[in-house]
Amino acid sequence: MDDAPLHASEAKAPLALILVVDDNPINRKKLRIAVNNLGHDAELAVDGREALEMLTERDFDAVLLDIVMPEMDGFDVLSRMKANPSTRDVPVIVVSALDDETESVVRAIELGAEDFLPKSFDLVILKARLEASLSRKRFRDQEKEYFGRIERLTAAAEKLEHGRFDPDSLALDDLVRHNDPLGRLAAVFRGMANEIYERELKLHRAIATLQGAFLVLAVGLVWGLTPALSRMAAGLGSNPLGLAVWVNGIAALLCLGIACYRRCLPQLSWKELRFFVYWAVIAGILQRMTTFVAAANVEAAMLSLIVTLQGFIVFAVAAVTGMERANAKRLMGLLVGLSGVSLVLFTRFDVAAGAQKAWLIFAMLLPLLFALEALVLAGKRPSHVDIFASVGLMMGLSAAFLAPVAWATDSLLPLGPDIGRLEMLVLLMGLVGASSLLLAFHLVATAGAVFYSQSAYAMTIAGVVWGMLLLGEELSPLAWLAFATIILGMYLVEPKRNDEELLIKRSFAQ
Amino acid sequence: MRDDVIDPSALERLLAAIGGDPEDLEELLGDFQHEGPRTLSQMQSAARAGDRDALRISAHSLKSNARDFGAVALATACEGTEHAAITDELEALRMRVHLIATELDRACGALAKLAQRDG
Repeated sequence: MDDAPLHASEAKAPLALILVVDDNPINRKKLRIAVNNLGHDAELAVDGREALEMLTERDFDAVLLDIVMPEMDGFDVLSRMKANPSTRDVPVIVVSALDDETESVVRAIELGAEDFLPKSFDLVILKARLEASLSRKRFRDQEKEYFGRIERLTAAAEKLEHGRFDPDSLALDDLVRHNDPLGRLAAVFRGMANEIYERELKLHRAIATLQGAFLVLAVGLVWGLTPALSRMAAGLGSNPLGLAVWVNGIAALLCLGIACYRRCLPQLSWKELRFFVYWAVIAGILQRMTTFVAAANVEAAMLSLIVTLQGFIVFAVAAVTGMERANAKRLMGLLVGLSGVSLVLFTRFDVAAGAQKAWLIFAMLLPLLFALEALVLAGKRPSHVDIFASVGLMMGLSAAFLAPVAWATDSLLPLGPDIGRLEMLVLLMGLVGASSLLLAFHLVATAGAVFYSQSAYAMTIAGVVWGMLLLGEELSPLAWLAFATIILGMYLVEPKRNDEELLIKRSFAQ
Repeated sequence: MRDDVIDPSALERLLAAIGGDPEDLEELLGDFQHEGPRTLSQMQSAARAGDRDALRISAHSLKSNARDFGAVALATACEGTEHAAITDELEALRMRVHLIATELDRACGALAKLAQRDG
């Protein structure tokens, strides 16, 4: 590109491509030879229609146009060229026998022809008229290109006004490459926008991490309540299976009730319904049953530690499938979190008391199932289905699956109609179950499966915290250190990055 | 020697316009030997069919070639037909075309002779 776009045509003009339009083959050939002798290329059109077609297919620098032609004459060609923005600026020189076509020449010039050439032309005249038209065209092209760049810069400024600072959205890359004042202005403009975008992006990510961390802690805290409540319910004569039917059923009613109130009950396709069935089987049946069996045979602290492995499983799957970023920093974050949890578990509990190897291997199913749930939720969740409806459907389906088993094994809990302590407890557990899943669902959707999987750490710590609160124990400095380590881990893991462009609300115009 | 049918200065102008290469001029002269009769035949068909516009355009086309090659009488006959095409009786137009045929024949013959002499 030229450095001085508005002062062109002083250097040696490049070859031009000229379109010769004439129905007379001898005239066409004559003009072609003449144009070639001037050092330009010529292409020939036998009539107006062919000329218009060729003009849309290639960029011509000028047209030598005969006026009297059958079917579509030179005036028609000229009018159509001027009406089409892509051919409007191609200069047209009409070729005429001046002696008896003066009126035609006048009309052609009124229609936008650049110049005229007598049929019995002199090569010098052709050269002069062609060069004059070509240099005007070059000047106009450069002017158009320059104004086009100004328009693009203005459009980019408009985008900034709408909060779009992402350099990719501004699309100024090719403008920046021009080594002229406008190119330098574009470079400064893009550089500043980029700087602001990067800064805002960092801030946005920090906020997302903070929000995600709070959610992880909240999920952990709510989930951490479940074992304590289950133990209390067991003390009141409940059994795990019957309890699960009631708790899931209540949670389902609660969530679906809210979805109904929000008028968000979905119309599901078979494929979507299948997703909820899978989810109910994984989370409502397999996880629950595995937990019951593993909890009976593996020491609780050891089980907590094993559950935390889900983060690494999710990470590995994310790395293989590419569904999320899987870099050293995030892996390091997971390891830091694990060390925080281990710090608590190894110092407070006798992990070594553990269990037989076979049960430890069986317990490994748990993190696998949790990871599977996180991945299914992150990857296959029908995103248009409301969060309350989603959780309600899953809980409802798992209650429906478990109920026949509970009935067959005589484990159905006869609750009500009087509201006693057990009824209140079951209601509370339903509430806790629903809210923990809602939080988890939201967390997976916003922060991704890898970040969500850290809730296993929070759950373990929460178990300790609830124990401490309930037993009135003080939090030791070691526990505080463990908390800090887990938080540091979350900072390193960072929530998944959103592909959508960050909009920055800012107004510069008055 | 001055030819009655062809004006040699027109041929010189044409040669200058196409850059001065006699071979190019020869090629154009060759083209005229078959394009001229072809245009005439179009004029004859148009005159027979009463297609005045086609007759006018063909006459215009042949006129410009005739001028380029210095066929003055042919050019004049074509110019007259071009103007008369819209207004004159068809019979009169057919007469004009007949005249053009004669002039074209003469012009082609004279040009062929010239080409032979120069070649």
